[in-house]
Amino acid sequence: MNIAGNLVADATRRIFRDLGDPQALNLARDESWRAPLWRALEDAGLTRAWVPENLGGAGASIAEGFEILRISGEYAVAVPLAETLLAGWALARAGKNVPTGPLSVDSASKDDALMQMGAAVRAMQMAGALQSILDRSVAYAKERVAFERPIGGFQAVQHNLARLAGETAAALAAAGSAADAIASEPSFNDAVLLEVASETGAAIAHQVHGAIGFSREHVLHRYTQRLWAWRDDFGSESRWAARLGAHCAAKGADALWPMLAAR
Amino acid sequence: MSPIQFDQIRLPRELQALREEVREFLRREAPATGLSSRAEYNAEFSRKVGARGWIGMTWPKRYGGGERSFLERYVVTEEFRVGNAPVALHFTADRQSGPILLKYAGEPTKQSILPRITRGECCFCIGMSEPGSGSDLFAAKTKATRAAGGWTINGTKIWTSGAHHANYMIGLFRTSPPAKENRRHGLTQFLVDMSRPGIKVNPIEDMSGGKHFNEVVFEDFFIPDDHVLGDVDMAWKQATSELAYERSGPERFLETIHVLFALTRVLGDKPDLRGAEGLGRLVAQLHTLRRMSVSVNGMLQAGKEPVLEGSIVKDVGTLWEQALPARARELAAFVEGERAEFDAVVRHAATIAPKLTIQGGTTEVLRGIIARGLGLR
Repeated sequence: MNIAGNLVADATRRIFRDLGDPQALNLARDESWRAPLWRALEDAGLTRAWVPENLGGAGASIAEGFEILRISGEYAVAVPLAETLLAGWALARAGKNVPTGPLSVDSASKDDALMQMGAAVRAMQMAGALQSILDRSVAYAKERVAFERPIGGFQAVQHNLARLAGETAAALAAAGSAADAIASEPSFNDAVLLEVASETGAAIAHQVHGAIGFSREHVLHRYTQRLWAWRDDFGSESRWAARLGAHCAAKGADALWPMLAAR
Repeated sequence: MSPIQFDQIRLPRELQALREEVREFLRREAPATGLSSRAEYNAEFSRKVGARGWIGMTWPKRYGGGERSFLERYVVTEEFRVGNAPVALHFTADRQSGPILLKYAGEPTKQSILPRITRGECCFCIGMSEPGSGSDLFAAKTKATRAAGGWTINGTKIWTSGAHHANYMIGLFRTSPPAKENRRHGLTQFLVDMSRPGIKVNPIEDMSGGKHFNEVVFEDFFIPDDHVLGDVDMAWKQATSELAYERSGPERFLETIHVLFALTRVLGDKPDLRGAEGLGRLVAQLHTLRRMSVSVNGMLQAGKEPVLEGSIVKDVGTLWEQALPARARELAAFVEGERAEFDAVVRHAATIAPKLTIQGGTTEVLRGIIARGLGLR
């Protein structure tokens, strides 16, 4: 990522840290956090990142937009940032004006390019959320004492967290690959290759956190419930897998490796 | 800041030319002879690979290397695996023994051995496990005692793949007892010339019927001083950075890849929804593994030491390639008609699958390393 890209990422992180901390939101008694967070995102141009400057947007690159989304996933974003980004992208692509304010998109649209882009967007948010879940679970395992030592000292817990690290790495790789494919070949002719690891990741994190992670006051559910919701938007991984599988089968066994190797 | 850093790297497009070159070479020189042809020692083939400059690709030119990138090596390694090419003679030296020599051997040793490796004339094996120590490497007991001008070795190594073909071994021997405060202290890496007297290689048959691994017995075996690799007693400090090379390559998830091709073939061009979904998931997972492995190789190229990330690739990758035969068998369960080829490929893969999560670091050991990387140890 270039210097401008890092600036975008830094700005996103700063806004979420100051105004969108998931723990603070979780404990808040009302919705008074919502308007300031949205305003800050809007003022920084992040909600219109994928709208070109001549249409009133920030004109960020595809990669920069995905970095905003990954970071928003790290903070279990509670405002429709991804939806607005995506709607802006779709409208601008159709040469239409992009209205102000939060936007939404049909997550079961007939528009194939929108569905692929939407799936990639969700995958990237999920990768960010998994990163945060991993960090939080590791930190908790170092802190929480049971049987007279931090539970992170137990081999069974260590191995669970190592698996979570593998799932997180795979989710990042898959989402990064999808984002990359879109940035470099915006034609959407090939099925975007996606595989997201939400299920295992969320289950391990809950196991490590024990009862506290199941409580409403703990922040973990903000992440895991979003993972479960996000994975169903824009086609579940099963639907994408079936489509990819049908595509590979139709091309035949001899075409499979050349297709993979060219990506 | 997360301790795990997979840089987002894509194989550069210009490497497609190299890939085509390798495929063309394999079509001409290595028509796959059978399911296990990759495990074959083929001196003629290895010499031809060496002549193309595809062994020691990343090493300095003054030792016969190519000074090419880790990503170029990645492409060559991957195509050789998928092409089932008989790489057993040179691959261990190319992957790990050569890099160890580059880092720890004396100049005369480097000059005499490295160019022979790159020409495909020199086979290496790795002497780590012993009858009483496998995953617990630092329990090794095979002893190296001081002798005039060198060391005398007595003891036994076991499960040593390729020892019956190897010209050299890189062996781990005990030069001092473990220290009270550090049980890893006291082991030293040596270069072992397998042609010298005092060494006996006994084959061990494996469950697939192959004779790839061995017991290697040392009896008053002499190693000259200039074949000590690195510092005496300090092997535990040296074994780390090489692990990223050893663990992160495409050979860590492509070992049973022909099952995926056979599955695609047996499901036909219009599989039912169950077959399509299953195939799609496997393809997407393989793509993800490749992306992770490419990332580690790109990080190696950038001069980083992605030891943790390399362990993650091996952990996730070997479990995937191990599960592949069983998964494919399920997905093809209701296929009627011609399936003899598919069944044979799955049967063969199933017999090698158990070793995949053991060799080169068990799943359990890898997860301990990952846990340490996460700061839990």
